[in-house]
Amino acid sequence: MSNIIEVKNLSFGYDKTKKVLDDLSISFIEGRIIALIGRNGSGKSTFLDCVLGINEYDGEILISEQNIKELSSKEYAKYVSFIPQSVQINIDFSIRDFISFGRNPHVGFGLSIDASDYQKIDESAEKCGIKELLDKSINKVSGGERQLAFIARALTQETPIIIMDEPTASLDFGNQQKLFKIMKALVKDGKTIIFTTHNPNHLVNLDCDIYAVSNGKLKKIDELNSETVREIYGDEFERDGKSFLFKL
Amino acid sequence: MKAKRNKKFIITLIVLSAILVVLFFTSMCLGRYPVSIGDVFKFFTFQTIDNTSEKVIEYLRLPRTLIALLIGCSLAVSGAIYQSAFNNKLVSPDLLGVSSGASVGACLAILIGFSSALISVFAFIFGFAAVALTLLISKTFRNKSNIILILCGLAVGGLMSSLVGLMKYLADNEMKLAEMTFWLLGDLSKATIKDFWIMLPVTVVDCALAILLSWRLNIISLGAKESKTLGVNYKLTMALLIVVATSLTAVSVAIGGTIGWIGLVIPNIVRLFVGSNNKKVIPISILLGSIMMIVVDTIARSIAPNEIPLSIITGILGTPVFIYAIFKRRREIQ
Repeated sequence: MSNIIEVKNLSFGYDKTKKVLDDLSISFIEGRIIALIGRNGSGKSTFLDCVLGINEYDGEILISEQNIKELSSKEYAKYVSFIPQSVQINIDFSIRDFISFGRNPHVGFGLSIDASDYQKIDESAEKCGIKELLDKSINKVSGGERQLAFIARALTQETPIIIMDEPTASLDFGNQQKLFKIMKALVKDGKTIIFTTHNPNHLVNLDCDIYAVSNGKLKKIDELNSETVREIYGDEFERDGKSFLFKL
Repeated sequence: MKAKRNKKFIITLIVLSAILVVLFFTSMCLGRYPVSIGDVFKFFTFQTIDNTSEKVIEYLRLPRTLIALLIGCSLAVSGAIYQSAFNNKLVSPDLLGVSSGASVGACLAILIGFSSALISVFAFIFGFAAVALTLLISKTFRNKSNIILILCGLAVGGLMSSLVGLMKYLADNEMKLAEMTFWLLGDLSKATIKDFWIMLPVTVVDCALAILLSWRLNIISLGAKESKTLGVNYKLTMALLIVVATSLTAVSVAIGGTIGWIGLVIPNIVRLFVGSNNKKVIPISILLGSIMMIVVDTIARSIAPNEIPLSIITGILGTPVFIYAIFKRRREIQ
């Protein structure tokens, strides 16, 4: 498998005195789930914002061997789709309209989407199990259903890479399981998924590449065990079988 | 399903267009000097009618009704763009200070004693200048949040209002003060067909751009990060949208004075019926804005012996409609 994302000497700070990411170099393999774990404020989201081209960083980020600084928004959006952490929307688009925005990188200026695009919207909605909700307002469905609409939008965007920032944050236990099942199915279809999480237990049964974010660097974790979790989160937990439990 | 939805949208467009046409011709009949519908028909088919009726239509009603139509659609589209781009349904086209800036320009021109053409030019230039000032100030904060931009718009708007107050204070005779007051409340009584020809290209080009950009406007409303990852150049598109919305408002204010409520209320009413997709909101706002302004202007010139300023009527009609719109959405507003 080839590298789909390569990061070379990435540095970024919100102010000049303190760097959140410091001379970071890393590469991700195609067709995998890539999990970024780390404490609050460790720089997970900052790293994602660099890969998304939002932060103005020093260094190079290559996606499929192309420097993202040299890609137009439209070209970039053919490689990467994004599911944000907060999925609150103030404007009441129908779920169909909302998912249709994923077709934007594939349509010309001022043009509308056509029948084949609508078919792709239907297919994505079906994959995520929200086909019945297509005509509902995105403001009037549950947080879990809204999250699924975001995933359906990413699918209609037809990008090899999907980035999710804390995708489990607003989901209940059942929906978290559903999300991971969908993620597994997507990777089977050849997608690469990068996501951040606070909870090491989410990774116990997931076949994924784990990276810990701390001190401005990303470190690959080959095995999630007591020692590696302690390194990231400190001492205050105990192990019960495979899971990590709070020590209260 | 899709065909059904599009059918509903197309029917709405046809019905509103029909209402607009009917209202347009009806407004030719109404006013202090009544003209029969037969005469109106004859006028538009180039047949001879009595001299007074012809003059009333040609020099008074036709120009101002056409201008009212353009102002209505301009303000409604401008409001729809601002509300969507800033993801806030409760903002009006004056968000970045365009109307208050235009008011300063117009009052200054009145104070100096310029002709009505120069008053319009001043209003247009000052409207744009106020928005430029807002953008310039917000840029110095090095914070890309839209909230900063809105706050700077408020600050510039406040400054402009003070300057308008100053001009009114300095107005040396009652004539000038009255002219300012009337202008600030919206007035089409001096509108000529020349104003229409000045306004037409700006409105047509801007509305066409708004329709072309409506799909991107949907995506822009989701914010900078999502726009970028959905393939929209946020900065460029936002700049283009601000220019379109600002020029629509600036040209309206330059020709008709400051007319409140239309830009705020019309897009909200449209969304109640067709949802937030701007591919529908923009075209329907064009029609509904035009309809609303023709009604307002007809009332303004026919209900009382003297001309009533337009903002008084838009306020009286707009307030209950707006409260109804808020009431309908009360559960969504947090």
